[in-house]
Amino acid sequence: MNFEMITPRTTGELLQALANNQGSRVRIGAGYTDLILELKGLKCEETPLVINLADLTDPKFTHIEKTDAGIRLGALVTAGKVIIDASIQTELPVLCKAASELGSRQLRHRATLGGNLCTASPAGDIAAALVALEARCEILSADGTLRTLALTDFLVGVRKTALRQDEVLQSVFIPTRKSINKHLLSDFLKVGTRRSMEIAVVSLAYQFELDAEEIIRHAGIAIGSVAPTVKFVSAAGEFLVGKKFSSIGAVAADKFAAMVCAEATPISDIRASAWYRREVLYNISRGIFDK
Amino acid sequence: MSKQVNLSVGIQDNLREITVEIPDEAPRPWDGTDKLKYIGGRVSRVDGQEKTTGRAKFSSDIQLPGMLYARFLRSPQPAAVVKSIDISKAESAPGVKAILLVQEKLPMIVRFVGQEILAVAAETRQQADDALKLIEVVYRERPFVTKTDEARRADSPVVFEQAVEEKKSEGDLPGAAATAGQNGNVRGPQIRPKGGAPDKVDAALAGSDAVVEATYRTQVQTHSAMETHGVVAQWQDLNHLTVWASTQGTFTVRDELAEVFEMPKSQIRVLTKHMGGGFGAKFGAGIYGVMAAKLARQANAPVRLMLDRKEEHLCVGNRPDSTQKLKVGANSDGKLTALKLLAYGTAGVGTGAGVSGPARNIYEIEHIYSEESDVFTNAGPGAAFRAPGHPQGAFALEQAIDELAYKLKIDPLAFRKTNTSKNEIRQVQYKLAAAKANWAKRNSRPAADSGPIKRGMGVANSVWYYFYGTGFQASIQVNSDGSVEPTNGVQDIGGGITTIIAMVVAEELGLKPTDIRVTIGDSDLGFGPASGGSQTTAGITPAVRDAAYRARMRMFDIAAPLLGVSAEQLRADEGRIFAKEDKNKSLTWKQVASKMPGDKFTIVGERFKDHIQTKPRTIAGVQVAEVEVDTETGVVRVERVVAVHDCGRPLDRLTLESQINGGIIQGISYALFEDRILDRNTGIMVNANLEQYKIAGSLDVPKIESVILDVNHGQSSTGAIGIGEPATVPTAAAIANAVFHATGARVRELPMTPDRVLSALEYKEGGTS
Repeated sequence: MNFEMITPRTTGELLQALANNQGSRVRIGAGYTDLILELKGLKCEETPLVINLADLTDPKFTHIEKTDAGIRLGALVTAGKVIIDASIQTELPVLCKAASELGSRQLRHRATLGGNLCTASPAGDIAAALVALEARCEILSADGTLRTLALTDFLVGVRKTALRQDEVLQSVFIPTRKSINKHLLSDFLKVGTRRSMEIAVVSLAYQFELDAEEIIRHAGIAIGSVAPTVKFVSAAGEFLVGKKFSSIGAVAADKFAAMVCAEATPISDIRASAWYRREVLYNISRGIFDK
Repeated sequence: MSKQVNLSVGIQDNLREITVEIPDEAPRPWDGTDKLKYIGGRVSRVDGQEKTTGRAKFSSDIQLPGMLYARFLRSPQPAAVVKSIDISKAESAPGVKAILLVQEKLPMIVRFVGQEILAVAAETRQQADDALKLIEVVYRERPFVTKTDEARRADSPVVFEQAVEEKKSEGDLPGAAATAGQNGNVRGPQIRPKGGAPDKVDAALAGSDAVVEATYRTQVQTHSAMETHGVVAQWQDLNHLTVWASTQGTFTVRDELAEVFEMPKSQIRVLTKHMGGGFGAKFGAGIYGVMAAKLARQANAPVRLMLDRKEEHLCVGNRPDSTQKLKVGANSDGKLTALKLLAYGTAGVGTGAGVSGPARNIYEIEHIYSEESDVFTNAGPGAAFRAPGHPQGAFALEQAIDELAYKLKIDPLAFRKTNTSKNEIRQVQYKLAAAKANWAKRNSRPAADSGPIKRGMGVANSVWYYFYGTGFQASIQVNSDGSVEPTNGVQDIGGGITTIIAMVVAEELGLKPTDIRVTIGDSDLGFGPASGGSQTTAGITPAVRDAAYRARMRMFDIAAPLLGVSAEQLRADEGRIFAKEDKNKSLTWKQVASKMPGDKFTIVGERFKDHIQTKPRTIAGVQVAEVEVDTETGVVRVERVVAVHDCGRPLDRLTLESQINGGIIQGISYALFEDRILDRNTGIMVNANLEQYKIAGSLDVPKIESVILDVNHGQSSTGAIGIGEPATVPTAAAIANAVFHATGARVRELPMTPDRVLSALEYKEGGTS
């Protein structure tokens, strides 16, 4: 493993590094839980160049910021920090759960939210939770301009994002939904074999907002490892809106599960068969209402 | 000259008297009435602090001045002829000091992805890796086969044109190397009838009240020890070679190097001070050891050649896969009648895929017939792996026995009891296991739980054999300052032999284990056992105790005139030597040592044949697993394992429990996760890392409760028998039986992935089972 590295300390230096270094050999590094493996396996003619974000101190990249409009998480926020943040625990519990299922304790202290999104794995744990939360990506360009993009548009394919070569992910923003007396119901269900250090074979992230009468007012649902990207399952979510959670019976649960599965296009690989993924996605979707 | 001693032997407190003849110079073997201070207790590892603080130096930590780093160029082709190799660009690359071909004359035939072609030594590892990229190899590709079933067909590409001689290592079972015929890729079958020709067995099966017939499959498992294979090799001069090796056998590595380099053994020194694990694949010098020594000679500098994780998965050994067609019969009285096993498996380009050990050695069955074949494929060679053939064999046998018990409506544990009636140790073990696991409360009906999460409890038997070597020589040096230094060349591969040696010496001399400075892991010291066949403790401790006993006698001879009593009246305890009858006549160990003539004395103890033959010669064990199966996802969680094992006389219960824990964890990993996957189109292993080749992590480890029997045979001065291998034999089978009990579905293929479990559930619900 051989690579060059630039370590910008300010956003200005970062923008300059982005402007000066573009091309297939450039990688952006933050927590390195994935990038080290990638660099080890690379068989390229050119020596890779890593723009290392680890020393960046700009709070826009490193902080979790809560405003009336919503919660903004810097791309360098680690999974470990997500788990212990009080506002995320109360307002975005699905994200908290997903972050706690990622890798192992050691990895969670290193792995960043930005890294999990930019790796664009269809199995990304944090990605699934953020898609369910309809997060928006805030992308900084070498010329200093900022653009925003829905996370579902950011994730374009297996290990492919909408980032241009002169761009870097700065933060994600989750807008606050205005509702009264809301009560959240959420979970991140990760199916794999081991209890840690596992990549999801199937995952399901959901966060429902219920009103005082237990009526589902909003349902954000995302599925992982069953399509080229993490997918937002809008139809199944809309199906739930207006229904009283506790009165969703077997028939509606089956219909819901079928609607979730309709969005899945799983493949067979060394971890599981397509049949298995579809079967399990159905079972765990349905299982939401068993409680 | 010999003497007769009376010993109390037996299982736990159920003792009987025997008379044993032992050499005059030997101590009376410890028996069931001995109340010992350390032996049989729980003593922490004497090198524990060194290891946990990172001060312990493993072979992979060795750094020598001017040391070069060597790396292999490995074949990317599963089958090919190497036509030419151009090393000219690499030779002049920065830092490169030597390049050597594994086979000097071309063409060379390669038979698996990862086979060694050449090795480069350079000043840094990066330089060695960079140089490898500059080497051009021309391969003529040949057809290949990676799937065991495809390799058996008559039209399959042939892996070897000539007959293959079986290579044996210290970890193999005796008899495994027996010659067998070879036809295409199939070597064998090896036929082992016990109580009948096939027709007799068939007739017995046909006449049985109940028969179970099924096919079981197990996967290839790689050893995946934490420390990879490798060495650091240094030539002291042209005639003296020193090698630091991550090995299970300092002497077996030395012997192989002596043979390859045609050198006297005494001119080669192999050192293994600490070792990061070995499960049977680390006995020889290996190509890596030989190439490292050759490169070191060529470059005139020490060379380090440690394999990386990928090489570890590809090239240096694995547990062969198996396909076992098993038919077992029993009568309604619950007695087994006959067993027929037809098995084959692939050890890649290696041999040793036999699995019949459990089928032939656990149950009292009148007619047994087994046929086993090795199937060659274009994959890395198999190697002895913790109880070779036994976890595979037990997975099939113990599920079949279970199935038969359910068929006859007999409790699975009771069924096992009936069919091992002559084995007293097993009878005691069943009782203890049932009590500990609360077997009586287990619902006899499978799939009794309602709801998606179902719990189950399953049992399986283990079997292994009592092996030990002879001729080992342990030295004990007592210095005039009172310090005591036992030495032997044996390596501690993690089992804890360093601690055991300290305990045995301390017990015999009346000192504390922490007082004893043990030096091992050096082939220049007395001959010691290779750590294979679970025989390290049984092999070396009698020699250690004999030396310690005679050292004590020597100390008594020095003390006797000082205390004015005869040596026979003396005892040693708590760091003192004193008269049995008059404790005022007492000197400290150090005071006595200070009176020795000269500065030190050394005594050598030797491992001779056992005084008597132990009965039975098999090692018994039984495990009960409790699982939770999520029927919506197929995920199996092992919640608890109760393990009852025999290892003769337990020496250190703490290290024994560690061995049992390790065996069970590795068994769980084998049962649920591990699987070497080759791409059949390219012959490449697709999960040659520890990310996708899954091994159980700490969160997958269940509650493990072990019960270690005290079985005194009086066969040797310490009475120890092995445990390293027996503990991993029944785990996967017990889990499979628990999965059945939880769900009513049989999973007959390993690993029991969620995918397979869910399919098995589906199959069961379809009513076709």
